[in-house]
Amino acid sequence: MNNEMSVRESAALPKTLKKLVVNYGLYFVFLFIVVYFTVKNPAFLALGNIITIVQMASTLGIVVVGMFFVLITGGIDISVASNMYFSAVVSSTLLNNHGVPIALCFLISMACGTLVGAVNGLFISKYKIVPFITTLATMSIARGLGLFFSNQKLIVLDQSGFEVSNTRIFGVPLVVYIFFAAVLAGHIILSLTQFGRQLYACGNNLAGANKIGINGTRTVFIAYAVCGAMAGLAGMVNACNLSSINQNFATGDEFVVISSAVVGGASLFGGKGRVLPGAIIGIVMIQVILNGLTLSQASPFVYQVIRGIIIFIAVMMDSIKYSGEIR
Amino acid sequence: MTHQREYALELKNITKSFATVRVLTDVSLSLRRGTILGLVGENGAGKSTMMNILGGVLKRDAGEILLDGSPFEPKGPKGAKAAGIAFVHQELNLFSNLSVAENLYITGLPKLGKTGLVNLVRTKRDAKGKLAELGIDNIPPDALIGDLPMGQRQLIEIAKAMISDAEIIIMDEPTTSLSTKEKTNLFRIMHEQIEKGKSIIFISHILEDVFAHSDEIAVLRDGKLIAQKPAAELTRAEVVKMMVGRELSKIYPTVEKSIGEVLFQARDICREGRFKNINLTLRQGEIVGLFGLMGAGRTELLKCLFGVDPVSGGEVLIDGKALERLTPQGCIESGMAFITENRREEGLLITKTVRENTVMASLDELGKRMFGVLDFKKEQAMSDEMVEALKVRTYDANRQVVVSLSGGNQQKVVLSKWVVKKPRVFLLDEPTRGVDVGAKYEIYSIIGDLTRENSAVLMVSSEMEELMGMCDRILVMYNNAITAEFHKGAFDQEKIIVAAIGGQNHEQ
Repeated sequence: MNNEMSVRESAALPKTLKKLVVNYGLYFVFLFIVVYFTVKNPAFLALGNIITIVQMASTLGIVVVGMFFVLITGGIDISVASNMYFSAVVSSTLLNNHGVPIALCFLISMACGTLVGAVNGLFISKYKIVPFITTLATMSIARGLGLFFSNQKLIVLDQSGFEVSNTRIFGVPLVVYIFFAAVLAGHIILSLTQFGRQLYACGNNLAGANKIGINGTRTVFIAYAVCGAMAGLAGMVNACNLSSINQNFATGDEFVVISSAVVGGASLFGGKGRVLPGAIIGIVMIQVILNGLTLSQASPFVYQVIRGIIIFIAVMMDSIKYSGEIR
Repeated sequence: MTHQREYALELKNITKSFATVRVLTDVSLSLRRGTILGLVGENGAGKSTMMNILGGVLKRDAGEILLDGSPFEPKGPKGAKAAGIAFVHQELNLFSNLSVAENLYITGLPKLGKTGLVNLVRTKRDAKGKLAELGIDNIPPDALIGDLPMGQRQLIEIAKAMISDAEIIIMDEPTTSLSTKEKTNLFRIMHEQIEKGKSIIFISHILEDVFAHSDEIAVLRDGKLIAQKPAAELTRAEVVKMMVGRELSKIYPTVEKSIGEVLFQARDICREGRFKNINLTLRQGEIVGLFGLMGAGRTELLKCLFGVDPVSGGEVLIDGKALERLTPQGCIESGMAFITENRREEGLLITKTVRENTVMASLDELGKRMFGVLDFKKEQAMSDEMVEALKVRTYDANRQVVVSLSGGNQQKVVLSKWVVKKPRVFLLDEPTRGVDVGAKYEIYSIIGDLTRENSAVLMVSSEMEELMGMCDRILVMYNNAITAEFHKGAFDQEKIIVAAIGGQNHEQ
């Protein structure tokens, strides 16, 4: 009997260790990185720098909120960066050439984003086309439309756009408030509304959801539309921050967004993740690493490598966690 | 209810075809208010089609549905719910990432006033109340479904159907993963509902349950209603006869065979924290049964013998020669075959055709002749041979995907995948689970045929009757050890069960 007990215990210990590593491993890495950068350059933990980090994280953080909706359905949206570009081009052109007020431009940008998201949602939920392929197509289409409307020229934003990015309330940039508002709204929708709970259900077992009377098609459609809307909003925010839009606007950002969401606890297998605090932790963590590398004067080419490694670790943890779960 | 009619639900002359295949012909059923109607039939008899028509998932070609006397046109799951019909589906429609409470109310979560936000506190409280009312309050409402064992999940699925306060509850094989205690619980719940005036259609393969709990029994066969009669006027033998359309006087086939030399030996098999020095032998032409209750370690033992789970000691010998490596690959090469109990998950590529599945384990051999390019002629021959030998009922082995076969035929495809390789030792885990009576007989014949060719079979089953009918020897497992052995001729139900629950038989 005694013997048997010790066998069980020795089997249990590696299991808890594995669970610990899988669930909290990334936080340990994060902590290590923060300590490392602080030792290398104490300015890293200065309030000013922290605000800079959060500000830089905010733009894509808004998209991460939308990406959570899509990842929870078990899908993926790789069109978000192109969508940001397309939406920003349309609304900035209206701002510059037609004198549309800046606030309205934000709404228009969101509407453009929603449109692209709705196209994704329609084909994915209604016509059952694989999310990756659908959004790969719209990624190309949105980028192409943006290039077409801008005529491949650099768009320099009107003064009012510049003012938006410089606005601070209590010393915190407006962008950060927009990001936090998006996180809060996303959190409330996902965890406190019937739609949100049903979204988790659809991501877990879509066939089952349809069978018990949840409108799976509609639910998944809305998730993509929300993701598009967030991309549109972030597109305009980013345009204001940069005060101009060039052809490479947001290029490659879809991977930052997706990996941030996964780092923040969403699963590529669907049905999982909480926007609060996941979306904040995910994007901030990646921004911290980029910021820390800048402060320690690393070669910019190292960024890409490090970013790739983070994505890899996050996705690997996700897979390890997933295996063994019965759907 | 102002006008309570005698019948809560009537189905009249329902007919349905898929393309050219008639699956239901003129089926009429009536469910008397406040009673349980047991619905039995072989797999593929049309029970599920019938229920899908009622649930609005499929459209009927002809016929009439009367709900409380007035015509009813089913329109999807929501429509059925609104009409007061609740379904307990065979497969669980639960969400492992949500809590018990959320699963119960997911289509209509209680709201906080007019805000549209979900009232989490009330959801939990309502769930707790409902579970208590149903007598399954040992399940905490905020537990994640994914953390619960299968039996409890099934109870939650059943509780979900009770929540909508439906007048009519349709249960499709609700007992498949329930333990005896949970089953008792379910039947208690069913009878409580009946006392409240609800009506239940109870679909089950387990005739004992159907007889014990139904007021009336309806038998479907090949899409036709054979009979609907009060349970008291029927006997089990009559129902079985109606289900299969033939007299099953001898359910188990007799095979002319002789038992020969020792073929397979397992010596001192150990697995840390599980088995200690397990020994067993199989002789040529012998069928050995492995009986035991859930958790006795039967499946785990088979997994060790086949090298799926690593052993910490012991060896496996075939023809007196020990296997060098105890891995699935090594076992297959030495002529062993293992047929798992989860045929859908582990044994079959369910979206592939019968032919592809049949040759799946033989691709090496098919590729030998042309540097890895498959020999399609031989593949076809192999597939044809197996379909014929094992009587797989398929309209076209090259085109029909396995998922659309009935459970019994799926199991035949799993068997043929291995039989085609002509192994000598078969390890079978619950080979007839979820298989209807007729197909069971065919599977028994296949197993019998295997041993005629001097193979040996080790077969795990929870059905004692089946082991007693099929086996030359029965081994009983209790608490991860083989505790008793019975030889043909000396089989005794009582003694076997006593051994399985850990008691002592004095003669042993």
